Amino acid sequence: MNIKPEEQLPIEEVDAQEEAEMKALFARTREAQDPGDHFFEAMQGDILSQLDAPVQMRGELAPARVAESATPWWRRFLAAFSQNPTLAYGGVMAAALLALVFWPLETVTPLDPSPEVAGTDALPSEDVSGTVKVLVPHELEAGELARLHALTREMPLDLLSEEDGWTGVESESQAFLGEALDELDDSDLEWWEEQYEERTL
Amino acid sequence: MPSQAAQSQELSLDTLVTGAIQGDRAAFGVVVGRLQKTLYYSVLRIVQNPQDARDVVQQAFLQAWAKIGTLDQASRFKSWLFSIALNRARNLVRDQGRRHYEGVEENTLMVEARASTEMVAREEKRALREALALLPTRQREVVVMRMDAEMPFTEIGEALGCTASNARVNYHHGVKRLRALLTSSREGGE
Repeated sequence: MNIKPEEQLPIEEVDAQEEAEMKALFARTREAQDPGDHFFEAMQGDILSQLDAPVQMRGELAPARVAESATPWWRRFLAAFSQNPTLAYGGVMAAALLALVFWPLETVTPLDPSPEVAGTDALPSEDVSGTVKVLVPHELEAGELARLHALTREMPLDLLSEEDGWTGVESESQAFLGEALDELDDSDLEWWEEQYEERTL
Repeated sequence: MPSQAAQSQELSLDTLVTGAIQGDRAAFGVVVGRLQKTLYYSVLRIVQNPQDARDVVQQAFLQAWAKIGTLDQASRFKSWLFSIALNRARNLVRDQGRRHYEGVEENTLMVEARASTEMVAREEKRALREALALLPTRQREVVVMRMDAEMPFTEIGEALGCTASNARVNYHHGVKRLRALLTSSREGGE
């Protein structure tokens, strides 16, 4: 378990006067944006009137806003996809892995001549073609990128850089990527090597 | 017809939540009335838009009602509700990404500030909003739950999935940093 730096610090109490001043500031700003009792009464009424309705999932519009949106479903689907880099990247990775597993035997291409892959060291690297292209977020640090390259060396994956059109992902997507990479342990790579050898022998 | 539990505003939150767990909708209605304000203000600090805050709060309550049968202890309801709402607020902010809220002051849902204090209040609100936005997420959420909802650190920890000590440390650093940012903002404005 990772211990954040702040957890290693001694617990200090917030100065009482400082806290009182801050509380007063929060209270004043609350008052300044108080929407009034009618607002909360209406909200409570809305909540109670919808208790039996299906719970709205993330990204859906509130009932009051549904009428505002007459956009075709496929447009909303594309918009939701583009607004969620995690989903987008997950989709790309899933497609890449599916393509790897179900790639037609006759079109399986020689892999990068890596010494770790038995039987491939004699293959010229210029034979590598038809690989699955995977977009790599440009926010990845050099170390992370190197690890990604190392992990995918044995796979028919072609890592594309920022110049190839990736527009960026958020830090959570990077975390997702890191977790995905962590799950690709050596046994996974061995399994992929076996699959590759069965197809190419 | 409202149940006895719902009729009495004197009952503790735990008692009302226990009633709601047993399917008492009226008891849940009282729970909504009791918690919606603090939840709304806390969420508003995160999403910075009244309509979005209202949507998040509504959906959090509806999700809580739909899953209330899974709650093992009534005493955990408030922290559980906050964890649902903050999660939704976080997702909303992340999804909206680069959306700006410069027009928030003029939103029709905002009540008109009292004339004599309008300028001061508006300036304070702007400074606090900007300073809060500069805090790390965890510190911001801890500070907001402590200041707006007056939650104890144990509940804040439950809501955020961390220990009470961790919540306390984040609170300490959050308040310190918030104060420094506000001081800097004031000095810059003078």
